[in-house]
Amino acid sequence: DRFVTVPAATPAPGVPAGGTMEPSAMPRPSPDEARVLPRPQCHPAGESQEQASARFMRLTVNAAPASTAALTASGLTFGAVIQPLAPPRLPGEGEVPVVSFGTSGVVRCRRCRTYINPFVQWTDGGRRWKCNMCYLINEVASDYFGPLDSYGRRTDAGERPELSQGTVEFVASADYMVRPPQPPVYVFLLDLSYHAVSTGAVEAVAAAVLSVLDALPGDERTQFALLGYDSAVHYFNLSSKLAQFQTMVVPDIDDIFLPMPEDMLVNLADSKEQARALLEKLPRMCAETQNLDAALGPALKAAFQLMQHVGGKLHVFSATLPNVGEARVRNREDARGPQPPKRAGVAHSGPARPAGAAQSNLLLPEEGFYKKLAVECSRQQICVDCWFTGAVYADVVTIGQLAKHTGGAVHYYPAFSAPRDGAALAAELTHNLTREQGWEAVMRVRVSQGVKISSFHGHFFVRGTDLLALPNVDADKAFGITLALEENALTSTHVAVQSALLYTTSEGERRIRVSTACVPVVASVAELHKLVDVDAVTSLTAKLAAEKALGGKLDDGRELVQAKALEAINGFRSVCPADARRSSALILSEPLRLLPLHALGLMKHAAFRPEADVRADERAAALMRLQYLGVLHAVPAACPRVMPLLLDLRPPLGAQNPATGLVNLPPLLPNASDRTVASPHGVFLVENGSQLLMWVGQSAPPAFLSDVFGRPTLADGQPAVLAPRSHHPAADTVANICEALQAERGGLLAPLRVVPQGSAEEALVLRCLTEERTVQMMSYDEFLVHLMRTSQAKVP
Amino acid sequence: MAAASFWFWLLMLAAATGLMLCLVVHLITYSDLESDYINPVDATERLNRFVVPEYAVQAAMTVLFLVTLNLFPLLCNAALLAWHVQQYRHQAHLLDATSIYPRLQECKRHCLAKLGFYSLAFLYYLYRMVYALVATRTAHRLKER
Repeated sequence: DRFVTVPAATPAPGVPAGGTMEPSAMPRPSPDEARVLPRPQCHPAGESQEQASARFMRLTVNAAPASTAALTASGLTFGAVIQPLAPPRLPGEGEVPVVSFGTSGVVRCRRCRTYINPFVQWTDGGRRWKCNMCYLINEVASDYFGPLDSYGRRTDAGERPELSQGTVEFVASADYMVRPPQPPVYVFLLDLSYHAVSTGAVEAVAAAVLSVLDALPGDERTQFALLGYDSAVHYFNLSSKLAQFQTMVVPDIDDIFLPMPEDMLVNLADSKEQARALLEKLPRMCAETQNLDAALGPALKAAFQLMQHVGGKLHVFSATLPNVGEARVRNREDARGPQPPKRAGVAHSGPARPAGAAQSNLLLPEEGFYKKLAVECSRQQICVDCWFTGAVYADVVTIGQLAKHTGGAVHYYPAFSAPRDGAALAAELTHNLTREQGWEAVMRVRVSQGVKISSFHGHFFVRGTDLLALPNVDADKAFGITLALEENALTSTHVAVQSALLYTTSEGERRIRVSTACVPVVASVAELHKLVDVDAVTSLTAKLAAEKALGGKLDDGRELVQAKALEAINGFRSVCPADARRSSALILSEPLRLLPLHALGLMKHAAFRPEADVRADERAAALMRLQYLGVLHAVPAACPRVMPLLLDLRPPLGAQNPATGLVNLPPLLPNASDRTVASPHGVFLVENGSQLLMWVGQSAPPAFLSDVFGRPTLADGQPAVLAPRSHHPAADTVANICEALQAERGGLLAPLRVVPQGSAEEALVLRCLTEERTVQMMSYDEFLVHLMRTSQAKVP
Repeated sequence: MAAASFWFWLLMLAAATGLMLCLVVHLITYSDLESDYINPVDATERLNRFVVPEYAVQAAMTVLFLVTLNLFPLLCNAALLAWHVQQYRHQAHLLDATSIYPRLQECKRHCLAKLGFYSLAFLYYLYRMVYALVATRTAHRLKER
């Protein structure tokens, strides 16, 4: 068996043994691993196209345990992360083939309704097929018949994508619709209170929406509406018959009614001019407002009434805590004073004063209005995205319930200020509005007989057994599932997992995207450990821990991350040869080499870190993002990348490597501060899946600064932005590198932010250096020692 | 005429039947949920209607047992009442449409356990009722002789 030993360092004379680990042996990610490229063992049958592409479905273990005992002994979590609409990101990834069955209907199993997939068994000369989920023999319709070759495979599998590729898209007939496919509907509910206007949030949002107004996914049926709220609800009449848009302010917020519903939710193509004029004039119209109130509850009810007949996507912007009308939210953060410490966690070094107790209760939602409204929205196919730009407490947890149960997203910009965050907000809003979306969707996951789905994780509404209601699903949303064996042992040889997403495209076609993965059943723990996918494990563990934390138990969530890592290590250790176990070293299986680093990084992430430097809102937003985003977000969050920039900044750096198709990036540095932050002469890039930061030391070489920024020093008080590409080839290379990083993370990365040493945002950079020891958490070295000692004690 | 205790036990019997009916409605709704005959929002509305009345009736029965000093049924019902109070305090007694599916197996287990308890209680009350009835008759017959 291949395994990695991380030996303890040979101690200097006089120093007690086993205090640190051998520095050169500490596992760190390779550049490809940091890019979250699928590993070779993701597909046990080689890079077979038959399996669902890794971008759609990643199983934590690419094998199924033969018995529950084997799974428990291995200490692994058996599950999957499914991202049904993932876009192509790497060279070699293409579009999903579309298959139309016409009038005969999609070929499905008679009993369990599984879709036809490459892993079914053909019998009786090709006249029958055996479902790989429920093992029922189905008849093949005469127009679907095809002869078999000597191996029992269909000879025409090459022409039929559904028999040769793991992910296909079927065109759904009228049986799959309860109503005609809905048009894309975009509704924006803007906060027009003083805080929103004075910080520039309204202007930034209006400008961003204006810039993508022509690029919104959809066709000539697309509908658009804009509502505003402060102490009253503002309605905008965008009827195409009017020369100018009209505003109507309704101060009565106790009895919500819509003054002119057909003219507020308008066809975008017809009313394009009115919509454009509104977005241009809106910031100026409310520039003088002194209104400090926000009636979010009544405004939401108005938006709901507006959209309930058709459904669609609602973007809610909130800058002021809702303080008038229904569903007022009180400021919980200020109300409570300093809290006594709860208990010392496991990985805590230093004085034990975790912020767990104070923060745990702030992670529970308070007002029940938002959850009830979310359930009603889900029934009417309305999905809500929440954008928070407030300076003080915004109660992301309570209002975020709207997003959580309708399948939406949560975006948090603490103390938004247009000069600093405007570009990031615009980029995120643009990405959100223009990415691929599926409307009025439902998703069902089926597994082979003998295996059952224990739980689902993500943002959705569970509408039936194994059935998730997703009013709007987009390219970045991912769902985690945990699997368990129904009986204590599996008798079959293979286990298949099939996810089916029934959705309406933005062009109004009803489609079913089906991804199928089939893995062998293995009996031995060692085999299971060979086929682990550490990225999927990290992502699923993050989802499980986030769910625990959002249930009010933050410390439990953090300890879950460590516990799962330890279980996996112990599970592998139990099958290691005895002489390897006797040595003073931490033994890790080859695929799980990076598990300790990922676990430590996750525990130090803003979502879970015990230090009190993370406010409840930021924590809640980070936890929710871990829940609904996929592998591409979780892995860099757990293991941020650090790249030096004081290099020869010329091609081939920043240019595409013709052999791999990937862009050449600077080499990775360990996430530690000894060589980088300590040196005021250094400049490096830090990327953690959501933020891209460039840290510039105080004494960085002036030549570099004038090449890249256009001036020899950043201490002159002007905002630090990159010089235009034409200024110097180095600036061009840096811009190329940033662009490549953005593309690698699928558009989830905020635009580059330059952080000079000593500025307020330095804390963001320091947080990404996960190998460092913090006030309450161990360094990477100490963590490895702790894991080594604990696993040696548990499995001698 | 039958003794007062007969009427008392008859009342308890009726109450126990009512409680069992509540739970049967629960179980039917759970199985409907599993086989997709009802959606979770309607199901939780239906179920939540029966929870507080069930708790109230069970509390009333316990109080009546305390007043009439029937120790054995009092102890059993008091245990169940304690559990109900615990659920109420943690706000876990009402079901929520967003979390009903993950909690379905746990809720079914609780339901079946309570149904078993109420069935045994039903039989016990029936026995006490018949005993009260027969004892009264026997007492009357003895008096007449």
